[in-house]
Amino acid sequence: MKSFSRREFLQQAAAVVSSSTLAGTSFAAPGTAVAAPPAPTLGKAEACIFIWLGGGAAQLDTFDPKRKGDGQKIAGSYYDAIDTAIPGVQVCEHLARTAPLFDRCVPIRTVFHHTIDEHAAAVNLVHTGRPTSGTVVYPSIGSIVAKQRGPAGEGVPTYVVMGYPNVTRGPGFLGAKHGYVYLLETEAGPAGLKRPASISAARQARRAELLDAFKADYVRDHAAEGGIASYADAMTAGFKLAGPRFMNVFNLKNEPDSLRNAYGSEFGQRLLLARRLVQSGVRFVEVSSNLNFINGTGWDTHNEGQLKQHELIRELDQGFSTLLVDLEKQRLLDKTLIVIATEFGRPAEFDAGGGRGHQATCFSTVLAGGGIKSGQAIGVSDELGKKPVERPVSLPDLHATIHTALGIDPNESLYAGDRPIPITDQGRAVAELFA
Amino acid sequence: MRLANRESRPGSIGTGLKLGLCLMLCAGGSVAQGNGSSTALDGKNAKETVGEKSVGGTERERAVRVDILPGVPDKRSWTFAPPAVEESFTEPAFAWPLVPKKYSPRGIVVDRALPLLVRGEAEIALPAGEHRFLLRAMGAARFYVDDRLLLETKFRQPNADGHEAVPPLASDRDPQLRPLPPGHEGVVAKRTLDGQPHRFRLEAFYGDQHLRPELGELSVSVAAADGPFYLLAAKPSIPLSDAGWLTYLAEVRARDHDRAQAARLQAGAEEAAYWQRRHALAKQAWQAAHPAALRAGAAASDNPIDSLLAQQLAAAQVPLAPPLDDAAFLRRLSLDLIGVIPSRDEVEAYLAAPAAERRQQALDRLLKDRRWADGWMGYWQDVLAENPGILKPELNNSGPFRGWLYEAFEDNRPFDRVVTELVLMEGSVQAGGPAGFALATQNDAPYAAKAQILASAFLGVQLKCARCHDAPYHPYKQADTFQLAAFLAEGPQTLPKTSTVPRRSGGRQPAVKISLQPGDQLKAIWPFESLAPAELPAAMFRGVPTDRDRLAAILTSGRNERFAQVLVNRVWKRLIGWGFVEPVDDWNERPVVLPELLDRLAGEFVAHGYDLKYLTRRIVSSEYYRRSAVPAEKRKAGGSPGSAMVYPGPARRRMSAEQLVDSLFQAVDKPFRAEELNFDPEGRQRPGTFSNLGVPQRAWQFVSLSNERDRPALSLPVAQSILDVLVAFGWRESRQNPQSERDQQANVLQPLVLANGVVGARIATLSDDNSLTRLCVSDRSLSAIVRATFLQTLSRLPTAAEEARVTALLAEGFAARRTAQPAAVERENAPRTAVSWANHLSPQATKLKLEMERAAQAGDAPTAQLQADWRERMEDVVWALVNSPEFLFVP
Repeated sequence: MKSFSRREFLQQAAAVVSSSTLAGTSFAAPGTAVAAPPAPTLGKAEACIFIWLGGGAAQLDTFDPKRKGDGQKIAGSYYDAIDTAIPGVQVCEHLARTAPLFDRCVPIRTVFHHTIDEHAAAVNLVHTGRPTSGTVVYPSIGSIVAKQRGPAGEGVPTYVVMGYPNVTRGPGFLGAKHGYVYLLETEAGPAGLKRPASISAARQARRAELLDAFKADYVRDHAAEGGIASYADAMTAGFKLAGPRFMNVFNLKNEPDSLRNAYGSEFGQRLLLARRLVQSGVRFVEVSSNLNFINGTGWDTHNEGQLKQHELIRELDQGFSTLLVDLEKQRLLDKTLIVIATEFGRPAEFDAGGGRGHQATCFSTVLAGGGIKSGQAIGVSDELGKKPVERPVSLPDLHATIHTALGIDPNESLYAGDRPIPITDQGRAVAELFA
Repeated sequence: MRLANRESRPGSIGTGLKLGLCLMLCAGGSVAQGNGSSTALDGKNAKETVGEKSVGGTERERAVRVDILPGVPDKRSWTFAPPAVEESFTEPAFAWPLVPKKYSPRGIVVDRALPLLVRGEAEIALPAGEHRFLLRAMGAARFYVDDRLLLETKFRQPNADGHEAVPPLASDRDPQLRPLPPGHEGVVAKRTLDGQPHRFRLEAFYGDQHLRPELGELSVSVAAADGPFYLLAAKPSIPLSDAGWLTYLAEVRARDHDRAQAARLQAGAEEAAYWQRRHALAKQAWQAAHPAALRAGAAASDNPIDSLLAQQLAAAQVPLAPPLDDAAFLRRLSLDLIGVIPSRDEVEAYLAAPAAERRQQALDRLLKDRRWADGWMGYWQDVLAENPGILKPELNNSGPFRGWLYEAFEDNRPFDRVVTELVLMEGSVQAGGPAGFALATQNDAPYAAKAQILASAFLGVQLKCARCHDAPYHPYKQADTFQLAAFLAEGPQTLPKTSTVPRRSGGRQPAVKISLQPGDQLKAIWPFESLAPAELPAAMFRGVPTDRDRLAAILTSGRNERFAQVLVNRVWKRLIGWGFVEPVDDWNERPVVLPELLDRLAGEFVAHGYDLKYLTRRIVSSEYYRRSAVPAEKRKAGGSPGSAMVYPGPARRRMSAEQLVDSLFQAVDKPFRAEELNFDPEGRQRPGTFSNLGVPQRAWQFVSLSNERDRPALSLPVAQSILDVLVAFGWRESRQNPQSERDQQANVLQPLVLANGVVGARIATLSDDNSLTRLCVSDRSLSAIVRATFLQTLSRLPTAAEEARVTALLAEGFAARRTAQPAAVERENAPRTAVSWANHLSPQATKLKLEMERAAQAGDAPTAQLQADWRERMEDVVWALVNSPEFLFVP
């Protein structure tokens, strides 16, 4: 049996992809009539701040308010709704600071997926845009952006996570090189990067001197060994990363007190740090809002988690609105795409404990800044936000939208070994958001 | 009287137990207790430490007979007719944290019929007078004196929602009494005895209500009026203190391990006889196909590796790489055979042996070392995509078949038998049996996924593309994958909708070829006749073969030469660094380097009954293995076609992530002190939803911490700090797909996580549990300390320049380095918390875990036995040694 050689195949696949890009769809055979509209021109955003509302934020209680329920038998929103800077578009009353700035934003109210309503699988789906396959581990959107764009500055990592490390945030088949640096608390700094507080600068210098001597001997005795040389280079680059230039980014005390106070508590400080990271050249920052001590459940508001949900929403409101204003002031908003994402939404009905269960058939995601055409709402959900009525947006489409805004062709292929895997699973960007 | 989480504190009397012993046991004795059995086995336990007492050293009188009675009604009730005893064993005390594993006639771990009753009794004469009895159990248990009920604990309460309050843990810890573990109930009653023998009986439910079968810290203890509690025994002498319990637990685990090994060897005796017959058949088949090779093999007593490689190198006019020195050889051999660098004692004993014999002695010793199994685990977990999850596993997760795999290596089971067991997928799904391989959560074509794994692992056939469509650059069709899957399913496989490339309307056509449609049914037809014949002699089978029997036989028969070749190539690549065929999991149209040598080794492997240790010994005994490593750059294109590359010596390798982590901790003899890999310490969840993979002792035992929920209350901070290192160096948290070779690229996070991460800081800190601290407070000279430090970290003596450099730094203040301060009291292996899934959504759970996070970040406290200034200089030396690239690269 004659098989394609790898090279032949890859050449052919590449040819198909490039022609299909022109035709606006992936893997279309040349000469085939294609009905789909052309893909929008790639955007010019330089960085992404991806705000993660882990647990599944209730769209009815945040960005897609509906008629009010009673917290028990009568389904509906838990709070009153208020007008925003987008005519005809309302949000929940606890987003009062964001509402007047909402013309910088785009709520997408018809995101959906079909994964059963369990956290890990849904979190993975929203981060990778694909269900697990068993043949390959798909990379997170952060790792894809890291791979495609690289860092925007020297001596900084490409991708930073403020939250717990996990597989769904990881680089998958792209390899550890495109993984993230993570931190759990802004005060503590990035795990593994920051020199332990107990090691003084003088000790660090002594350590470096000793290590340099051992390293120099070893590298000399193993001259012309590529693997050893590149590890030695990684040591040099790594210690630079741990040096004062990048570590100063984490020193929030360099910001005026008034701004720090405006951002508010730990979640707000994370967003402030995100801004500083983006300024330093970090390309993708995921900021988790996992401050479960506020209401116990975080955004997974089953049972009594609902009672103090408004405090979470207000934290989000304070931090997010301050970020919008701050980025605008720094002239960074047009270059920085902000995404507020979550693994699924929640139903209009209340559970026996007064909270809400899970719902993946329809929920909200918010985009802001990044040079997209803001000031419009995308998609309309039904009376109680259960299903999309107009303009459903699939996860591949959502991913394609984010990539497009960041200047990344969502149809381009990444390679798992020699296997080509398109960046999104046939996703198409929401064209209304692009010029 | 019931005292949930708060028991009365007995008065304190010295226990007489030395904490130093406890320290050793904590480091070595803690076998993971996943599912109430030893899923994750303890490699360090087998450490051949010189001059220390072995764990099993204390023989105690085992006066308590314990019975296993399966088939108890699952009705949360003590009213039932007593079932028959299935198995009995003896223990020294009324404390049984483990139920022995049960093995099938094939030596495979199987689930016991649940729920079962664990019942033990003994006739014991306690001194006359009033006694207090304490029963502790994680579920329903009863304690009788002379058949009269004295103490009782309640049945477990299942919980799934996570909204409970965090129960208080005893905060004022009494050193005499081990705190009551989470999920346990402790009840106390008084009883006056007359000094005569009385009959004591303890009964406990195990595996009731479909909850994870675990006994927790089931025990009955006894105390005199005001004295401390001792485990009830013929002569109660084991205190129910932290130290007493951990010592006892280590003994139990060592006993349980030996008992399990004996049980499976006994159970599998008939199986072993069958495999001897199979090996005779395989040898015949191979000899029939290779009459010439056999004659050559019989004639040559030398190692074919050296003769054939010498020919190849001579033809290419490439000289053999220079020999490796003795110390470097031991470090390489240790990493290759047991997955960790040698201890200082091992290096010193090796260097003290006669020069002519030391290498052979080391080789013989390491091939017998129990850590041999640890050394192989990470590799096969990758290749076979072992991917268990401890929290509602949903990401193409398998069962934790690591337990079976470990036993297979520990027993050095013939590899054709291992693969057969894997294909048959029998035994326990959740307690570590090969049935766990069958599992693929959230995967609508699980057997296709397993077919892909088996084909790449044992045939060098890469079906990953042929999973969803015909492979574009391999001669494999999607039907091949699903036909293979049908063998595993033992029935036709229907192609699911998701296993294809979707076509949208508008006439688009995928660039890849689609020859199957969703809904097509595929039967068990062997698709690779050109590799291995499907027609096999009837003598290979016992009874009427099932589809799985047939597939296993086709894969592992002597007529399938590819099987032996692929395994030889894998072992060779792992030990030598380059492969006869690369990549090792994809042989299609690949050139074979030195095909004669590959065939010779494959023939020997078959002739020796697929014995992995034989093959390993053959390779590491060669002169070639004893040569310096050469970098990829030193490869030369070979002269003859088909021998694409010539290596003057083994290829340079970097330690694997697991080897690195294990070696770092080995270098200073520290235990991981990671948390139990379990989010349900209270045992209130079903197995498979929440697994308990135990307290890890070797790096391969870790697992994804699965915090997709991003909840602080679900963090395991110490384990996470170790995962940070593992992940940076290429270990995969999630093995959703098989992988034979890891990413070897250097990245900046690698040196950083070692230099500044929690693990790196712990290794470099001279805490009281760091063996270098013990070295530094000893009476040795500075020179001796420096030399010993090099031996411990780099497995070699320092050069003169190195010794001078380090000595110069440490000379000042050396004489006065010691303070008069004592060593700190040994702490428990892993920090305890009452946070569990059942209460993790309470704000208090988050608060407690954030405190643990900060404690974990702070690392280990430095010793007070050394002056800070001198200690810090010594720590800096240790830091530099373990951060140097020499530590990371295999010699």
